[in-house]
Amino acid sequence: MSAFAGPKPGIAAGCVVSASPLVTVSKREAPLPLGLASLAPERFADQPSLNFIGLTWSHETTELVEKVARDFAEAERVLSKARFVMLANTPTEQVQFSRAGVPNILANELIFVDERAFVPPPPGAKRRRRFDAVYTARLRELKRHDLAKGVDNLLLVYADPEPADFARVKLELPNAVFANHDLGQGVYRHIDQKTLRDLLGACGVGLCLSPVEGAMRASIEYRLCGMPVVSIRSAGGRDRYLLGPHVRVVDADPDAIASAVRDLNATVFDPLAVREFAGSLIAFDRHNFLGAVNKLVEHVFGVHHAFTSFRPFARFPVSWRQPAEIFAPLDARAA
Amino acid sequence: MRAARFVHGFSRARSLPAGDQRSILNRDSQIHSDRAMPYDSDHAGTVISADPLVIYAMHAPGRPLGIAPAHAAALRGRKALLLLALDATIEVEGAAGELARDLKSAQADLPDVNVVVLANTPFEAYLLADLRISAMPGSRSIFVDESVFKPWDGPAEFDAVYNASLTPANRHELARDVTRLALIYDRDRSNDPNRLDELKAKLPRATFVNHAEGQGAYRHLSPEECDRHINRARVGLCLSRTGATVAAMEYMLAGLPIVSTPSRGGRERYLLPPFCRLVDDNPPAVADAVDVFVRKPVPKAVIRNHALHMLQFERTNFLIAINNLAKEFFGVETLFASFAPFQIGLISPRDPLPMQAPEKAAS
Repeated sequence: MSAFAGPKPGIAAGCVVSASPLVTVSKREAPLPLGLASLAPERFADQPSLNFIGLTWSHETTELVEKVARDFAEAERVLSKARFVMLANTPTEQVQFSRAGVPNILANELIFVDERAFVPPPPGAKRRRRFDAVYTARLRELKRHDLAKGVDNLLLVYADPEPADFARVKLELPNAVFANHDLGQGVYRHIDQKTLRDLLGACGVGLCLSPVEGAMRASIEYRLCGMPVVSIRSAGGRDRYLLGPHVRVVDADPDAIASAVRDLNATVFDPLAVREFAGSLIAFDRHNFLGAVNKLVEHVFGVHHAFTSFRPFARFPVSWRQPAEIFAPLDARAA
Repeated sequence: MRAARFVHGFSRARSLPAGDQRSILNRDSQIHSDRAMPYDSDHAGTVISADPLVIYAMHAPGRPLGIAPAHAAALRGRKALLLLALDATIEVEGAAGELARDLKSAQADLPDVNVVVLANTPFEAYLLADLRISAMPGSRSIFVDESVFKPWDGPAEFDAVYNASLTPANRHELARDVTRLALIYDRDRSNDPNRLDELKAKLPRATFVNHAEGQGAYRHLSPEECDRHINRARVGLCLSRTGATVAAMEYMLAGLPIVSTPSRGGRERYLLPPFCRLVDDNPPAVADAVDVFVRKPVPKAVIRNHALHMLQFERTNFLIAINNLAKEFFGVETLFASFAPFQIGLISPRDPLPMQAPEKAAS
């Protein structure tokens, strides 16, 4: 199937980080395999552009990478002035892409998460731990909520679920508090960022229980909020930052998970130290991302030092918005 | 001088656990025998795992697969994973294409050897991917031994130290305005006999440590000695235009902040503020930046901890990737439980002995 022929969704993840030269960052998703270029190919037809494409799912296997290679080959024919570069979440994905001849750089999706949106409670704030652990994840089977059944006091935060998924997780975790339905008094209610921060502040440990997915933004949101994390071994990219004394990576076993939660809750961590530990790794990766992007912009457009800070890349590459909002910088320039 | 963990090719297999050594000896006497090591000074490499066979080697001009071709007979028909480090950056015009051509040609002779290039920068990895060459991050700096490079107590007598061979590419002249300067070095690789005299004339106030230690004659310094001399200064310098510049990591592990000029090839990876000042390519800018660190020193422990934090991060992710590769190529789960097998000195492409021999003869 063509990378440009799919249905155009009402929202997409990505942004125009520079209108001139045209540089974009977006995501490879089912309806938009080449991100913004799939969403609005006409905008990329006539002018040279450099387009970074992130991943929403692990590409550590050959067949998925070959599909990307085919899409890139099509893009070269259809949008001959557009240059595409995959953003690998892991070094393993980078090996796969390079072996297939897919241009890429290592840039884990989690570096784009806005650290200003996820912060620990203020140092003087009264903090009462109401939950031993929280799991921020859609109620899908791939998220393996069942692995949390040994955790005594568990909070779940999620996107609007399918009824069957909700019922399944209710059965698996009868004692868990389902935050979105709890706040909506039985009806699903969306939780905004401030409320989420407050909820996380009432939890001891953040959970990551899927064996494979993308980079899993919740994994870094927990730590930016100053929380320790328990994760199972995984593919997709979250493991990049899962190191240090505030992290336990354990087998996919309910008892091992419950034990690690108890272990971390028995230790007092300074939330700011947890945030600083993870944040310094993010800063390191951003520093190198920016260096690579500037070299690529120079390579493609001959423009030196195009970006002097990471600011244009923060938040929007991992935020879903309407196309008009995404392309506003281009329209403003045209006007 | 690079503070070397001088590795004599496959002979490092001796440092493997006893079982692994035996397997090498029994199965590949060619690999293990000293007679089968026709190494000159540019053959750095080591067997990281004997079974399955994982090799680390250093690419160099004319030796696309590093040490591997020297043992082609032992490798032919045997599955191996070859991790190929880069001696020089490929971020210069035409270098990536040349490397790709060399690799494809060399691999034709060793079809069962899976080569993965360890890129020093993300852009190197990009250039290689564009040419369909397997690549992953693997800065040479992550192999620096933090147990060798560490802070020493005591007052510093130099404002800055520059640990770099005396080649023109390293641009020692940019340090001419630094008041108290120490130089640590290999000999000029081009063997230009006038280079030392030229630099002594251009940097009359500098202390040429290797010659001072040799009482006028060049003396090679061990890595431990290098660390001691690095600790005699307050700031480390990096002044070349290109290169991974492993010395930058050595400085930071020793607790020194860094003054660097802009560069390509890998050292910029670790040069983050506030422990590094990036300055223009001119002597006053270099001296001014050194002066800032001299006047407002950063505690050595803070800089070292920062470096260790970066190393832990890099090594953790390197290990995950290598284990994934081993699983894919050999079907082995978690081949390496720790970074230790890689921390045996993989950074130097050179053996000091051939460098010293002419000096000894002259003296």
